[in-house]
Amino acid sequence: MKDIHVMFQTYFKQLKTSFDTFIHKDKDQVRLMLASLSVISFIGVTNSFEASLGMGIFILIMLLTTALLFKGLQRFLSHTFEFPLFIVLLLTISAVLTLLFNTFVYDLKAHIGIFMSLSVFNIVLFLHVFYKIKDITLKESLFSTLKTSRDIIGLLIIIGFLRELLATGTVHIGTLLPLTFHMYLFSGMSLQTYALPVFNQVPGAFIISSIVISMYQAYQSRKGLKHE
Amino acid sequence: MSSILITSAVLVNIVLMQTLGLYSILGVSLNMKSLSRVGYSLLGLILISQIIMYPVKVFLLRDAIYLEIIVYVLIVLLMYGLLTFVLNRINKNISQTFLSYAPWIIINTLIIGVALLTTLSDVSFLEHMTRSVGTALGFIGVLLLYIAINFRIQTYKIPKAMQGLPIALLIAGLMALAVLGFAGIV
Repeated sequence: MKDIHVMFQTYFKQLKTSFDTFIHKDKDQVRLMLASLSVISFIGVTNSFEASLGMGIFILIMLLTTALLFKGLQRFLSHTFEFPLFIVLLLTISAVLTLLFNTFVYDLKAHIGIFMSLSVFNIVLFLHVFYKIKDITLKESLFSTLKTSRDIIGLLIIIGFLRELLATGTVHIGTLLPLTFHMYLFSGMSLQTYALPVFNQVPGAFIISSIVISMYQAYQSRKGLKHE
Repeated sequence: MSSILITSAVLVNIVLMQTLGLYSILGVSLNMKSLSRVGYSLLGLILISQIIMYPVKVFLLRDAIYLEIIVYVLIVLLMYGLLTFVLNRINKNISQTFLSYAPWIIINTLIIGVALLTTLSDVSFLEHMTRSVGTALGFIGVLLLYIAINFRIQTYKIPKAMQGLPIALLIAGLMALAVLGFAGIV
């Protein structure tokens, strides 16, 4: 029995060390670049503005709940089993949230599908919750979580908006989220005539994400030049 | 069976058509040597995990689908631990190398993605395993192609704004367009 305990202890320790090495290089990335890295895991669901917004809301709730719970439980967790327990916590929150979304926002859940469950494997959740907020106060961790979520939601919405606009010529809300209205955020200007359906498919997601992230990089480098 | 293999490896490629396991490909740079190690470990882990996951899914999780993500991840972690333990008994160096690729294998949405996607449809064990192998081969194929293209692209002068993630996404987009062209071959 003692041998099994030691074996598990060594396994989790080695696992954490390899995660530390893997994640260390991403720690130095700028905040929005990190959000971009996070967004690439979800580009499959950004084929409409509303789905992107829904996914963003899910990430916000997930990040906030995980960060607050992990911060609260941190003092009671043994250092050796902190890592596996963190994974179990993430999985439990994801399962509970998926169930809640399934009950209250069924259309959105059906649209997003397995990406909700797979958000557990998002590098930003690992980085943000397990590594970043570990050594800061509860208030600071709350603000930090909100900032990270804002960046991710912002990027998701921009990609979703552009994809839907280019693929269909319109952008509308009220179909997936439980809103009591259905309205067009953007329509007209003959865009429907020149709509490009490829942007509704996966290649479009890659191309639009590439353009959005490169625009951000150009903005960052220009900002850097001004400061110099 | 061959049509299932081709479909899961090419037509519904897990990376290019279902956007799963993207971070492992675009976010981190690998060379050919580490690629083969990651590829073999991934293939081995997928096969072993899916063999366990199928009966668990069919007999235990039929009425408790909400538990599947928790159970699947625990299975992957346990199988990974077991493989490391076995490798440790055979050769310590291989075991250490295998462990250093843990994030690649575990954060990878591939293994869980395959399990979750097959939950959506009732398939036989053989079909499930063929699909899993096809998915792993598709992933390794995309990884290989991406590394080759990336290696070539590094010799060109890329605009600063496009360096890094944007160019990687653009490559993935063009590869996805190419895969779309295979639609209808099976």
